[in-house]
Amino acid sequence: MGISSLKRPRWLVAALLLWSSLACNFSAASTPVILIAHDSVNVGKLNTSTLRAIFSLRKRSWENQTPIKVFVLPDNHPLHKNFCKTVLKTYPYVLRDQWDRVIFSGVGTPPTTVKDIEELRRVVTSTPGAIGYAPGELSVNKQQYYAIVPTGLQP
Amino acid sequence: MNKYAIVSLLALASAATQALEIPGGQIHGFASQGYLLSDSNNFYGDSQRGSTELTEIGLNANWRLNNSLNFAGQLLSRDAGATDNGSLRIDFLFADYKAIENDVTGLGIRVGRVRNAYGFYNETRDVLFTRPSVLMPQAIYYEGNGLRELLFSSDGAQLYSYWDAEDSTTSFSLTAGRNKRLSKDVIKNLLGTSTSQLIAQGSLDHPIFAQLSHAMSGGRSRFALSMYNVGLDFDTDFMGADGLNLYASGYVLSAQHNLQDWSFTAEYSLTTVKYEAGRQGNAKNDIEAAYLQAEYRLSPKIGLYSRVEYSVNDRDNRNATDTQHLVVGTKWSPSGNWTIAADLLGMRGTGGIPDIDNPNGTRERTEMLAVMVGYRF
Repeated sequence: MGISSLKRPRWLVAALLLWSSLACNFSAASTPVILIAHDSVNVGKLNTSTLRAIFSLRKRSWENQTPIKVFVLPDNHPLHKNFCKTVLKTYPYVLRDQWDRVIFSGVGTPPTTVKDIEELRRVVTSTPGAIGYAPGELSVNKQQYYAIVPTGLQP
Repeated sequence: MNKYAIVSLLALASAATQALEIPGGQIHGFASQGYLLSDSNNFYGDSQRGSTELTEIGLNANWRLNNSLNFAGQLLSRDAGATDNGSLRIDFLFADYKAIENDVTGLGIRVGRVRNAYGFYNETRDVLFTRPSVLMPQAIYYEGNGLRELLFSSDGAQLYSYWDAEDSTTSFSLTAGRNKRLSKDVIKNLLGTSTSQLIAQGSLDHPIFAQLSHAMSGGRSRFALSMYNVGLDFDTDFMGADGLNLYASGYVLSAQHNLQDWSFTAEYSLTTVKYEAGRQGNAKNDIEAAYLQAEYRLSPKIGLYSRVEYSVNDRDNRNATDTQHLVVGTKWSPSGNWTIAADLLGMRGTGGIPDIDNPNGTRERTEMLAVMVGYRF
């Protein structure tokens, strides 16, 4: 469920300007997203707050001292949008703003962007300390994922 | 020379659409070229005839030695009319030692040349992709009149920490810099061409910056309180004449709310400047500034924004020293690597207009078109 799939007519938005769209219409994602991580990582205990600390690049290492390596898909990939909305419960552009502040002020290690779901799965399962995400239907070893019930953004 | 630099860097960078991965780190870069067309006053070069004297090029690297030790640095070249000459400089370069980290908190220190936390945008103000528009809000960020050099970065130490709660995170940073000599250009920019000719040398003394920020719901709402205190010491050329000491202190309140299609940002600052000029006496004035920006995303690639800015150089003399800016603009990002942005600015008052781009004096009203194309990887 991407931003582009909203069907509101442009002219209506333009005509009503500010106030009509202040009430946001979030909707739950259609494709479930699961977290995937390297075998060295125990992701069973991660809650939204910790996941935000990881994906906002504040948290740098796992409890066993392995460095955290964040892998993501491009900003406009439907699965990335889903992940932002259902797991991190924020907007993709908000996360992008946070990353750009980190990248251009040097205060953290930016995530590595890979081109597609298959490469994301491959690089996460082969890199110690790696974390990423995958479509819910992807079959993975039970130790490699932690399913999250998509709840959608709350207004 | 600068133009050759941008062309060669763009040629180099156009091959890279993503960060260059190095063992333990990444390399990123950006290049932006602006075009400015104005009436009545010049803004970065001879913009009344059309100016291309707004160029920003940067290249940065980060490298992780181990869990607690990171290094980061950025080279920057910025040309902005008479206010900046495009020379290559070290924008930031520091070692980052994270002493404490657990599931809910972290604490560390950065040592070297660090960016000062001031408002929402100071730390990345020269990157088109992280700015709210082509030009920074002149209220709060004082781009045109030389204060940017004072706010920009410190050679010193920066303590940082954060605390994560269930749906929010609170961060704090405290930066203390050592004294630094001001270049002739910065003095000219700060004091104007004629006054600066009386100054033999100037220095920035004991800069301190602190910021407390709070983000809720993964950054959908965020707030910040920034405070700072700097001293400026100018020695004059004339025998027997007293030097000039300035003490600037102030704070910025920042708030942002992000919705799916809309973002609203507001910042307010109050700066108190105390002047001590020996026998010429002492003076004090309050500089006040605020802006409100609304942004609407037509699609993930196209944004429209509008901003009103208000500033007074002397709060006790509002009518004579106030400036208002109205900005409307659009940003189009055809891909993650490219952005084209255009601002239309209506300015009443001379706040933010660079004096040294207007050697024959400034006028009260300015209209301007500012277009910028930027590439990043």
